[in-house]
Amino acid sequence: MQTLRQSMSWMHTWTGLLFGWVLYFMFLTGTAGYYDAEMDRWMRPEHPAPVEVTDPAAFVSMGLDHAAAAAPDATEYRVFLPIARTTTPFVRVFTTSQSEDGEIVRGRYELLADGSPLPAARDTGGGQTLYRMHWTFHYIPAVIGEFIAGLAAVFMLAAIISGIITHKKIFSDFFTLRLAKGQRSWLDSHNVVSVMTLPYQIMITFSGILLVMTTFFLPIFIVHYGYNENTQNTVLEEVFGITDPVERTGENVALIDIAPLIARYEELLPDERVYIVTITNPGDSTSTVQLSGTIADGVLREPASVKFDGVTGEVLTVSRRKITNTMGVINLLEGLHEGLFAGPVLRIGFVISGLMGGGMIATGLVLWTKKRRQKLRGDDKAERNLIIIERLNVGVIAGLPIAIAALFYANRLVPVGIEGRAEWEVNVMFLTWLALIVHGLARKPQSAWLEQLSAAAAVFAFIPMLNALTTDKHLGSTLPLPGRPGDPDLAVIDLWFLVIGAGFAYVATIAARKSGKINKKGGAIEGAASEPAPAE
Amino acid sequence: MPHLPIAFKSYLHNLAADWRAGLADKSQSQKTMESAKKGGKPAPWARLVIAVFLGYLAATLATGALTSLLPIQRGEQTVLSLLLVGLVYAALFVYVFALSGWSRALRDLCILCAVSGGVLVLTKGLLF
Repeated sequence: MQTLRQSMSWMHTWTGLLFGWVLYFMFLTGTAGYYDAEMDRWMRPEHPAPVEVTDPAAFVSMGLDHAAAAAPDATEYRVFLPIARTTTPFVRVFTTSQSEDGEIVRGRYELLADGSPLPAARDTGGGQTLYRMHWTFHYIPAVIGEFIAGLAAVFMLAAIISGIITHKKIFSDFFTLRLAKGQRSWLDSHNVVSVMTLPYQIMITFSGILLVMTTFFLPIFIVHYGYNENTQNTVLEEVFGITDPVERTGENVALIDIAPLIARYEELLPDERVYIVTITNPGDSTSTVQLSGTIADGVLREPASVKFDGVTGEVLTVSRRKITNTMGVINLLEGLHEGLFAGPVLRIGFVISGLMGGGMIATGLVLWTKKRRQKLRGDDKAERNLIIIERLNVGVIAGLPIAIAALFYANRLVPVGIEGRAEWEVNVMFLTWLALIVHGLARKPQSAWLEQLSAAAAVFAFIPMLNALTTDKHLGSTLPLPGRPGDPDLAVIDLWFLVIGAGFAYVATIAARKSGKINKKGGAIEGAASEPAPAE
Repeated sequence: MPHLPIAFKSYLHNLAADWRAGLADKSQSQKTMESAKKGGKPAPWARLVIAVFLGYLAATLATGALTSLLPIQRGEQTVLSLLLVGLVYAALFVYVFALSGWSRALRDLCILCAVSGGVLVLTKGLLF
């Protein structure tokens, strides 16, 4: 009979393997999302410096004036103030109207501090596209993407649980890393990155399931509410507190002045800043004004808000951040997943943990092929299949970071003005990845690892230079120096490229040493290029 | 997948042995393991299919049934279900793989679905 530990080891291997590549993609693109807003700015170099909100009431009035001029018959106005890093750093205005034939018409505007429209930038999906890939996978419908992401997350959670049960000495694994010992080194590396970031991995996986739960676990709603034409509305009202908007009466009444409402909001919620102003039925006797805070001001993914009568200014509801009920737990976990609350230092911690998660999956995938190779000695047919997996591993693991770098190259090099430019940036990324997977299949794994890791080091290190060659927002102007504030949000992206490039250079050096192309001191070994050392 | 033909052949062999041994026969898992020792470990496809599909149904029904028994509002029951269902699903994955035979996993999850469904019928009324 198998022991529980043996069963779990077997399960850990297979659940990890089946979704390993998908999870690796999710981890890398998701980790990039910790800097989505900064990448958005980096990828739109034409945009001016961020707007600083000095007087929220004045900025809201400016936004509402713009909305009223753009869509006088709108049923809803929304103004987002640029106070949090969750947005583009400009005043954003959204309008919702209904056309004569009943269609919903939406408008979106971005404004500078003086109320003038934001100058047009190159057509790009920005960092949001890269970030959203980690659960939508870009080319497939979002619902299917969420299903795949949910299932992958459940596999990951099961792999984590079984991985913990499998480990006899989880504490000592934390301190064990035997380098240059072949398969043992891969196992130690896998254990170290897994155990060091275990709380993060559990949090990110479980909260990931929660983030797609309304799609992935849709039947839960049917279990509790049955299935009929009212199910959706009842769920929205009872579970999420979303009700149908009040019908307009048609009685025109001027909207109340917003400034006193903002003062009242700050009085009722002294720790919260106004981030979103939502006006429903503007100019009608049924109008309401909702002022909401930002989820970036706290770890809970639930903003506080105050709703006012739009005519009298009477307070209708006050909603504080939920911290006691079940939805509070969900909001807490989802807030931790997104990390919007994290300051610069904690954000670096999130990125390192995310990259180590990618490392955990990558080392696990390589370890599986190493173990398998030992078991299959003498079985030619199975070994041929294994070789394909080994080679695919190269293109997937080392190729994906290069493909992500290609997205940034495309952002700078694809001509501005061509049709579908934003989509072409993404196409370049995936075509690059495909090319690298083909390269990995065509070359011997040891050579392919070395070539792709070296290429990754070079391409990442060169991005800041490409940035300097193509824009005026490069490290020479964005890096904060004594007497010069610079632009840290832009500088941090270039600095990360350099750090990632250095990291790949280090790993490529190890790969070169293992393949016998350089010695321990970094010198080239004669004749090594033509005869690489055999694989382990 | 590497080793797929061999693993799948081995799995099919085990599958037939399992059916012959009967669902509740204790010798089934023994036979499976003996067979596995000869031809390598059986591939986990049967368990995966059970865990993914039946596990999903069982997790949804069991979590819904469990929370429907709690004296809280329906909206709160739903939110609690959403919080727990992922954990229950992952736990059922582990359970299915911890068992030595796939047929026992199939039986247990079917029982869980039936009991949970029964509880839901009682608590929510016949088909709502």
